[in-house]
Amino acid sequence: MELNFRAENAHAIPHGDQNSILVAAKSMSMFVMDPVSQAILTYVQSHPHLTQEELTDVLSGQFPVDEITETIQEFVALEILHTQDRSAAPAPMPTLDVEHFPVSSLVVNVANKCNLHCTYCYEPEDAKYGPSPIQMDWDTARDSVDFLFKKSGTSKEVNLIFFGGEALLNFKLMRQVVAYAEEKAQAEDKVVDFSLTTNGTLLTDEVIDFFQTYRFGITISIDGPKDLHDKRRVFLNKRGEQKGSYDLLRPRLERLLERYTVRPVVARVTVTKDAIDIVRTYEHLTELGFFEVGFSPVTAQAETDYGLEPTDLRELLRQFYELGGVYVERALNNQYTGFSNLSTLLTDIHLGTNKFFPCGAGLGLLDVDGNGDVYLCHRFPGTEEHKYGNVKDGIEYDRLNTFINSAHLGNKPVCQTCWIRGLCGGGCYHEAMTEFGDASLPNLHYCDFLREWTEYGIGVYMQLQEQNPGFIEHYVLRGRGDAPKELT
Amino acid sequence: MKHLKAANRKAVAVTAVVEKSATKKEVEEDVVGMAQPVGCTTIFNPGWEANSWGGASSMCAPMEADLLSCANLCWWPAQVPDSLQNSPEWAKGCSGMNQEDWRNLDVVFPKIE
Repeated sequence: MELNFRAENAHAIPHGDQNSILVAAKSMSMFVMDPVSQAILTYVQSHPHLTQEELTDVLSGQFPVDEITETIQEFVALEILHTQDRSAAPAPMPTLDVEHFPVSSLVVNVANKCNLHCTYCYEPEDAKYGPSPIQMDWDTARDSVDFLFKKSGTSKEVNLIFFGGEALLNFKLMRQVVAYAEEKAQAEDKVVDFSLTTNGTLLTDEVIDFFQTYRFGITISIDGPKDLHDKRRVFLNKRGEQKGSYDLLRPRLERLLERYTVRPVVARVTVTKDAIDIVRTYEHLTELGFFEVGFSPVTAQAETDYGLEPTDLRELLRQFYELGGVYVERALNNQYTGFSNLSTLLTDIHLGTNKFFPCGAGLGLLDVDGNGDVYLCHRFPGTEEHKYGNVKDGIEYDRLNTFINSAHLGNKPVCQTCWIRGLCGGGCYHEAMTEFGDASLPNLHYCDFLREWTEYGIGVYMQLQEQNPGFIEHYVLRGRGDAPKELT
Repeated sequence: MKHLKAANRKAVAVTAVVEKSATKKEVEEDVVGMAQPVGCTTIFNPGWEANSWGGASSMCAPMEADLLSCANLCWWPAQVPDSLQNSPEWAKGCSGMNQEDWRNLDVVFPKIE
């Protein structure tokens, strides 16, 4: 029987002194290889086209023939070995019809303005925050809520995510929206979940108590201790001078973290050039009382002074490993470390996440701006190309379908040979648009970073599974981003 | 799965599927539809192609297409006329019953408008 090795479906990672982990990339399932499977994989890697007889001959001195045969069958089942080559032409891609996909999350840009002027903000400077009015009005907000409930179909749970600009600049509208959505949820027998991302500078006791009442999921944008945070998260006064926002933010944050008790509060750190200090940032933020800290490399247009270059990404990775070391050490003593990036990765590795799209934008998630115009996600308001209708008039499904289908992993040829394609899905649409001018392209500038990071994560995963089995299931595994119950 | 031990939850699921299907009788794989041009064009087969590993998998017209799809049952080791649109009769005399059959293939001349 003819055997052909499909290199794109297999990735081996050394594990311990003798074993290797096999990642079967077609399904993102992971296996510990025994000596037979290891020998077969090593051989076919250098002899990709051969026959079963040939392979059996080569290895029959080392292993019993029936074991070799069994193992070959296992590789065939995982599509790492194909038994015939010429039939391997890819099946035609199914065309997705987004119209029948329930929208469960809507990002609402209640305010189209921000009180900060972070120097790395992705909102375009010339048309800051797009063409919509500074504050969303009640009619548009109500239409948006109606739109979400209608589009959610039979989905029991809907999510309203408040965003800006700075969402708290329109706190009055948020209150109205929440009251209306709660009422509607009761009438339609659904559950509505609220969340927001805020810079935290406008938090007051009144705001915090309101969040507490409605169990808001809260994410605070903060870049670390004062020296790091003030580098780029600044106010701009009328004379055009920049002033760091840390001193104003800190007491408000302390108040929030003390007063808000119903859900864990998450910090989102934007990592920029010359401000990569992961462990110190993590320690500072968890000391303040954050439950989790997520680090995200800045999205930078060409020729900015804050974008991360390959050497910076290497340094970022080195520091991720450093914090990862702390994570593992604590995990072995049943202590959880709120390092979001690693927890998310471990969750994906455990579940074997295998997806055709990088995220739910355009599928389960949409964004609505102050005009009621609907965009792919919260990063696109103002980008005409990715505006897909209006909450009043409905969605232009022809155009949205065209985009979503073009963004399908199957249409990203370079991804086809990558072993983490199912975990990554090609990367952020907005990042791709900023970097390459086309949202449907893969994030090629992060490939090496992500493969290395994933390989590291698999190492951590195996170590935890072996040395503290149950830790992942008990502490890390998260449904929809919620924190483990015993820790909230 | 005896030689590959499941390490994550997905692997457990995959193992279950593989073991279940192993107990069923295997369906023999068959090649069908070879009377149609296999390549990406109905005008002619573009010839030999190889993928980046030197193999022919996933290519729209791998080199084996020359052996199988050139003209119905007749082996013809070269570019062939399009038997779907322009020269449907080209291989009519070729039954594939014996090795000399290829001599019955028709001759195709370019049309002059």
